[in-house]
Amino acid sequence: MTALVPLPNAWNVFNLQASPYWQDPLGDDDAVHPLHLFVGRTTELAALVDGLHAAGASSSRRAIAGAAGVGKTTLVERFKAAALRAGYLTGDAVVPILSGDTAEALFGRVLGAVYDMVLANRPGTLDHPAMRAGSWSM
Amino acid sequence: MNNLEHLGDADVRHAATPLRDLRDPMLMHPGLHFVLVGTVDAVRGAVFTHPQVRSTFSTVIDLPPLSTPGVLEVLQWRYTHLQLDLTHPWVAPVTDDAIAQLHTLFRGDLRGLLKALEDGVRPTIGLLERIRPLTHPELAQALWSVSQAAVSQALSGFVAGGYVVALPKEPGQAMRYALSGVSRVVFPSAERRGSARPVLRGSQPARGTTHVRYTTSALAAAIFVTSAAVAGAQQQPPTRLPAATATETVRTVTVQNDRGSAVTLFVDAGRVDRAIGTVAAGEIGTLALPAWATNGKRSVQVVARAARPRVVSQGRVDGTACRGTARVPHDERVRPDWRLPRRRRTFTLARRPTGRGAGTLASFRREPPMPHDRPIPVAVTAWRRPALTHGRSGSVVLVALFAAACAGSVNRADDGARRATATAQEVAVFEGPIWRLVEVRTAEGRVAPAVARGALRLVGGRLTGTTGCNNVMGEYTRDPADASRLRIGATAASMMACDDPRMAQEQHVLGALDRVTRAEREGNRLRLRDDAGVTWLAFEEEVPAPLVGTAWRVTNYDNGRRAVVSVRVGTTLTARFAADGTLAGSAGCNSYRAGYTRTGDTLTITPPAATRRACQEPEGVMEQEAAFLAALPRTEVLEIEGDRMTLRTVSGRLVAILVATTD
Repeated sequence: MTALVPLPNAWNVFNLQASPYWQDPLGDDDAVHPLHLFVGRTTELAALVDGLHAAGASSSRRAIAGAAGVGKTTLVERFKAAALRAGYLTGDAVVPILSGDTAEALFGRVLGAVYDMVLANRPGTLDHPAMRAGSWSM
Repeated sequence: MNNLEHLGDADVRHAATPLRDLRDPMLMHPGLHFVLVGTVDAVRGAVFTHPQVRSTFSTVIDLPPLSTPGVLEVLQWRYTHLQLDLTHPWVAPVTDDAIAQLHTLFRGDLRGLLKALEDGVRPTIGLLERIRPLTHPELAQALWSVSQAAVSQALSGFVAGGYVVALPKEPGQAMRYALSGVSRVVFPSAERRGSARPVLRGSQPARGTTHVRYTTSALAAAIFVTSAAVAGAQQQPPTRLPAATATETVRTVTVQNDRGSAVTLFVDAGRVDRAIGTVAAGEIGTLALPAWATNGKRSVQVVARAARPRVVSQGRVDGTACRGTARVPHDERVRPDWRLPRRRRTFTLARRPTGRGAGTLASFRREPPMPHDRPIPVAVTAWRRPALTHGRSGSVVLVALFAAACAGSVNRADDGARRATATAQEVAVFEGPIWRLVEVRTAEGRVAPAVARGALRLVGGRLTGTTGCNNVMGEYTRDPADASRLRIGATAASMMACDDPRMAQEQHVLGALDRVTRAEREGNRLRLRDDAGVTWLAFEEEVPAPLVGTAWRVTNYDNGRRAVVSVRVGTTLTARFAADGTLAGSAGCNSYRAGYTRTGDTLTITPPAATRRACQEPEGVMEQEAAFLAALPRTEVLEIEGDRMTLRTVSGRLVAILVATTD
């Protein structure tokens, strides 16, 4: 019976722990792909953060357009981290807009994301009296 | 929100509709901040298709690709982050030059570049005589080494289809191929599941054209198609292909003007439309599309507008005979109320700010570039707005979650719906207007007068309205044989609680709607009856509040920082327009006075003068006052629907929203 030996990590020959060419966006709670590796985009980031502060307690809408793979998602992750530090709740989920979406379907998805966001950031929410069964109306 | 990346043009336009419908309950909901992310085409489509959505978004951030030094910096950080033995330096697996070349090839697609690097480096590890970075030729060899026979075989289908062209064979050289200008190649295994082989997107290929503009990068891309196609049977998803953008510069659109007057053609350029030329009455004109309008885009939108007298014509579906031409229909199709505001310089696929009647419109989808001497093929598709928005529908859970105040106003149904059904020439008499509730019959048979504003609108199969407390929405179907018959399907209502009289009215209205089978209109009155002829609901057509004499209260205003915000709690901003051309009101702390001029739908307001009191409370009242008074003179267009007035600039940007109050 042959003993199973793990294959040597090929990237070690470059004195690297793993492949530096991962394609996932960076994330703040991601030890392998941490957000502090974020580079550049200072103008865009400043515009986003300023817009958020300008909107304050009201609402805001921003749009980021760019070619595939150009770094849109990572920029959003970086922006979300900044917003989180500024005291905003941020959602982990990306809400997709799908072809054939109805307003109801999209609205439901956004509501779900907002709901998750509030629960994730305010752990005690479910214990709040207003959240108990049967007390939805005001 | 993300990934509009994989949506086609039609999908994008479709995706724009829920955004428009959810504008008020979701996008504008206080405390929510949205970031919409996607490809340039997708985001532009989603944001710019509907002016109501466009006006709420700040400038779209166009994210350019990272520069080559930026990419190198990204990688340096990654190497350092992953450094194994901190006492020894890391070795970059690939030379900077190779990365720069690949970066150019991938046109900024960082994800594709990284995938290629990973795919290229991994198989070569351990094969080099010593540890050193890979050079570009080595990387390319590792990535794209396929046999000539495999290339020819895999490409034969694409060549036959015209997506890829074989370049003239030169002695001693391998066969070379180039993309014919189709914008993008999509791999099923990576991006679309279900289909077995790579799909080349883009419609009609340009047969027989050779594209010398595609040199090395296109060649690499084409060969790469092969390698991916060959490898497609394996599980490994292929590396993404660089997006190939057409570099052709000469493109034209031919317009056949069937109208009795000249038309000017505009090309959509974001917030401002640019005129590209005029075609005289009855003439056929060929207009060049400027490079900036077509470069890097899969489609451009061209709209026709009468040169004078500013009447918009509607583009017609001409799907079969539309190659290279767009027909501008006869004057007989032009309705007198489709007039644009006089000073409006911009025009897109849009309703005009006042609402009734609007725009064009044809959408021109660009196909692969054609030889210089032929016009660009355009596929004209009619651009008809979908049935009806349902404004605040479904704010059920949000309301419950955030305990928002009872803010039931009738849904602002979309004017496009009115137009769409109007052109269908079979509008039922009850369709279109906003009907204000007068009386409702209770289940016990008692006739109860309306105690709170209830309203209903029936357009295009969709029912929207308010019961007096909650918003209601649903669907209805008409009987094709009998124009007064209708069947109301399931309705849904939001779930706010109101005072008892309103709740009672709501119960009556919802109960009565279930029994309705007929709609009969007499003048400005509408009765909804059952089969026995019993009237269950009686309405009157809602007349828009007059500008002069109405006490207007401001609910939202443009704060001057590209955002339209709600008036702060505890402050009241008012406006009262007098017949003598003066406007006066409270700006929250001080009183103000201004002059105004109204001509039809255009409204100009002079810079207001205000008293000089300073208020401390509530917080922000002075900032709000300054922003509101600064916003007012930006008004150029007004729109009144029911008891709601919207002030805008000609480009559709909101200045303020006001509601009529009873005092």
